[in-house]
Amino acid sequence: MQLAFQVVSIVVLVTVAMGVVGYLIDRSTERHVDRGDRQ
Amino acid sequence: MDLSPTHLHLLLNHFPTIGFIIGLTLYVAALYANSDHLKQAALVIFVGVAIITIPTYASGNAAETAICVAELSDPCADTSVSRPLIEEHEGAAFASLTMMFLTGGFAWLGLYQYRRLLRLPRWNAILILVLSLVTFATVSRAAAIGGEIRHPEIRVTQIAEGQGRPLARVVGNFVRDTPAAWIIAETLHFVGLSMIIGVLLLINLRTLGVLKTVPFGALDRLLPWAVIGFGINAITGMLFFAAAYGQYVKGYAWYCKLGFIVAAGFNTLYFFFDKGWAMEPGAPARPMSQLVAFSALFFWVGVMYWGSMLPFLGSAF
Repeated sequence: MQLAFQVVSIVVLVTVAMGVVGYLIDRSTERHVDRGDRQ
Repeated sequence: MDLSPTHLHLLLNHFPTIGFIIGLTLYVAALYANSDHLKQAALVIFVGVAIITIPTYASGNAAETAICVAELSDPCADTSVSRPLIEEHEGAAFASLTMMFLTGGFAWLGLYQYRRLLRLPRWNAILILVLSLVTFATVSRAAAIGGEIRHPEIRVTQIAEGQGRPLARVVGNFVRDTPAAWIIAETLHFVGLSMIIGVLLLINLRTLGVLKTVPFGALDRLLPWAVIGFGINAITGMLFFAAAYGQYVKGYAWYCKLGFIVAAGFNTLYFFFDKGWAMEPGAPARPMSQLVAFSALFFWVGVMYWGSMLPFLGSAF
């Protein structure tokens, strides 16, 4: 039970960290055309 | 001539050292000249060298098992070869591989930023410079210790049996002896694999003519997720290998997997210089882009195939 908790909690933590990094990269490299702006 | 993993290590170990020096020199010159073309060339070299460093590191452990067949806890039968020195070299190489991943990762981000933003942001330019200098230092140390293994005339590193605690053995033994560590790494390895294959299937199938109504630009935005997946798999793969390299280096499936990883990595770099990303919905990709997309699918299926064959083809899982 303790092993399962350790595995699940760390996998979730790393997955969330990956999500944050991916989100930050996506936002920081977003261009006007991606938002539908035509400037 | 039979090409052994030792030959492979002797051949490949020049790339992380000499190749990286070329990349670093080019990058510094590019910053000085403020040339975007030179910066992109240097970033490609950083990413390329980082990819080649993976088989360089892995073939090192194969070379160790070839020149020192004794049990890990015992000294080598050949008294001119020092097991602690080999492990010190392995530890230095582990540190340099970690730094190489970081430098290669941010260099890849720089190339992506060039395509998306048409410039390299100052923060990333400085970060890549700092990381590349640290990487150069760690690679130089690994190379210097590596040379001492077979050249006693230049040997300055002295480590007695049982005295050293090299990084790769500390990390590897922790993963080997901690039940949760291997399970966590294995789970994350499959999460990373799903991210890579999911994104690359979409991008490459679009290039081959499937989903024609979807613009390339929309799929292009998914690419960082595949690279994050690759990063996770590179790190977890390193942990598996450090924990139990003996079960990998004996089977040819491992070398096939490494070959496919290198080919797939270089294949992905091609798309930074392909103009297909600017195409409108419905437009077909150029034949060259389609060829590279097809080869990308082939290489990634190969990586998965040889990865899943590891326990079955000549290995000792």
